[in-house]
Amino acid sequence: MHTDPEARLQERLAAGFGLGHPSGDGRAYFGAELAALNQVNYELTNIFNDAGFAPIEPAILQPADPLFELYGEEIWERAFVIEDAEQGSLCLRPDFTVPVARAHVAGAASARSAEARYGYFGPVFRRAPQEDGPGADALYETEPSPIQHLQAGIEVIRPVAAADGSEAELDAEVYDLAAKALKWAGAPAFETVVGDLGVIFSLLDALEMPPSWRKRLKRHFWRPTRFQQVLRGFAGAHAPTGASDGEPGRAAFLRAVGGLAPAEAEAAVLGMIAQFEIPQIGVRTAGEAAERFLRLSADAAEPPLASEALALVEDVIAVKGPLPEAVERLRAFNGRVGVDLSRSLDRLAARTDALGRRGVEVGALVFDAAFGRNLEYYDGFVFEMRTVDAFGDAPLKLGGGGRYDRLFQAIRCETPLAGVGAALRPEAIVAAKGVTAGGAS
Amino acid sequence: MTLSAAQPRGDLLRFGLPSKGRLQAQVATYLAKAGLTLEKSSVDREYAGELLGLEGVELVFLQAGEIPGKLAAGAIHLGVTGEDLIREKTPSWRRQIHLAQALGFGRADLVVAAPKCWIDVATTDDLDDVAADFRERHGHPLRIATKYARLARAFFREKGVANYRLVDSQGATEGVVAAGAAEAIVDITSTGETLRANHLKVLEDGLILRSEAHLCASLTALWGGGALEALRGLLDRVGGAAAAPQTVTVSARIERGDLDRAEAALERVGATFLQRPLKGFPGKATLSTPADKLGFAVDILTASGAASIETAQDVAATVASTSSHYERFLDRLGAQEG
Repeated sequence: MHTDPEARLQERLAAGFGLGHPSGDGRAYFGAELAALNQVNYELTNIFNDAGFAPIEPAILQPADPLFELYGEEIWERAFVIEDAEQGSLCLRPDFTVPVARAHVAGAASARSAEARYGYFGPVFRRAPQEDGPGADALYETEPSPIQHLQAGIEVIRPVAAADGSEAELDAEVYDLAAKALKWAGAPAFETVVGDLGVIFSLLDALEMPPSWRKRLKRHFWRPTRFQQVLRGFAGAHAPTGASDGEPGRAAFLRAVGGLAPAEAEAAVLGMIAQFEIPQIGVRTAGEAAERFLRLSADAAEPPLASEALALVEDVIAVKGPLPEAVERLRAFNGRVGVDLSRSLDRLAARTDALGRRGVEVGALVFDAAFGRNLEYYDGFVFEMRTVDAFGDAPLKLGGGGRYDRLFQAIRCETPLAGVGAALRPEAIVAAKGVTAGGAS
Repeated sequence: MTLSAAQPRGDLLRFGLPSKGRLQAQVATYLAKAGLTLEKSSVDREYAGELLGLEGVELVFLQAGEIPGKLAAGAIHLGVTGEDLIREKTPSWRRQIHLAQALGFGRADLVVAAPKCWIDVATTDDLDDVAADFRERHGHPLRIATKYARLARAFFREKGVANYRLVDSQGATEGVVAAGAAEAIVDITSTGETLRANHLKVLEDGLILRSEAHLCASLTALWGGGALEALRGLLDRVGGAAAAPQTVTVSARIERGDLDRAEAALERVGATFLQRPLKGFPGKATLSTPADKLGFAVDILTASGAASIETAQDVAATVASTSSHYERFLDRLGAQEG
């Protein structure tokens, strides 16, 4: 028997004892595959611990209501929600980032004024993506994705820094550690896709358009088809904001309401409801309908978004290629339509430099301006590491992460906080290594 | 095809039918036309029965909502249920269930409906716009009550409606808005009467699914020679009895703008456009509409200012032969096993 605790732990891991967590993506792991998974879990948790990330364990069951507004539909639609007579709606945590951020904000104010580094490990739960809807027929041939998988990851949360440089430095540090952790845990070669949602958001801020249009575009940025439809609507001749002509008399009513004072518009709406003997039901008032009519009417009077502005947004979103080249291509767009993107492009360039200084081969990183559009809380740097399984056929997502400063506004935290994190997937690493229950392939 | 505890016994065709209600009566009528009679077993086995007139069939009476799951699991070979329930209850139905035949009854539309007093809201685009700042104004997100959560989510995702929250409602969903428990609903309707009575209107582009009852075959059940023989016999018998959906051609003189405004309403009653007048001029429009919805289509056209409305019976939609129903199923089953 070993007396050295490290050697004993190694022996126990090899024998299939885990770290006190259910392991695996919803199936049973055993034999050599379980030992490999335990080994990866152990390596990753150690790497993050050694790098100064303090372990944190958010509850598996989270209160559903506060989480609802923090996740976009992509995650929320897939959350397992459980009703409890005492506790109300609960959900199985669909990721770690939001529960960790909430735990941080709920902590002492003094803790919030300093930088916090958290490391976590455990299962997360998401329903399989829906098959119905667009592309369903192509989807149904593929295997359902696992409804639970492990995540080992890190989060750095701190007050927003005055200097952009230190944020770029932190982005680079988090990516670099995540990529190194994958290599140290034995993952084979992988490809990294990076993006920067800050570039698009600063472009939308800089373009000339009514505030309500900007708000609508930002809100739908996460739904690419819808975003394009709304954007083209603003640039086209037809009514841009939900002003359908479908209901007879509606267009005429909209024109008639235009220019009225709010109280007069409300009276007009009430008059119409009374004329057709429509009972008022629900919490939404006639005043709200009137207010919306006024906004639609004002929007309809706005000149459409310039076609050059539309082209610029579509060109920026389409930028894809090796990171250094992509930075140059984006630089060439700066100043078009009088738009100044210097600040966000400087930040992107500073991050690229910081990655280079850490020895990351930046030419091998693939920049995709549209990447990251499926996770509503990210708002800056985003990245994902991908490979294929050992048999070379199934794509595997080894991990990913990014910056989520906006999340703290959504949590309604008074101190402006910034957060950057990464989550890695132990089962995917094992699959990439090609270890099965019977041994390595 | 894997063996499981839910595997059908013997080599009979296990046929799942709704245990009560209008749908059961319609199924009985449909089978009666083929000379087949539903016979419930004695009191102690009231959820089982046989089909008089056809050998080798074991009837199983189930709650309508259970039939999709039993088909998906292979616990029954065949079942009658609505497409709405199949799509809602069995996420992977495409690889588990074959829709063998549309039956022409049990028709219902799954729709999005909002309060009639929201006079600024006509489309899903409007609904999305209202949802945008609903939480800021009312302290909770815009709530949509439904028992069709999966279908509703898929539809709203496709339409780009965001910032809403689904509220589970298993019955009397139409009343939920007036009761203050939700702002809008996703529910089935056949005539729209109940929605109107509850002061709700269907959004113009709010048709999620036109559903009807289907004869559905399980692709996961163990199909023995006896079960297949009984299926072929059943399809032979009912195939001739099932009426092909009849359509009628309607033509009218109408202004293009008026027609465009009526388009969504016409599509909701199943009309398809064959010819449209030029923009800006009154001209001839031709559309094809299900025979049983003709009255609705004419009403909509009249209300939209159409004149000279004429109708003509469509020249015979070809009736698919019964053997093709059976062979199509065998193809699916073969593909599944291969």
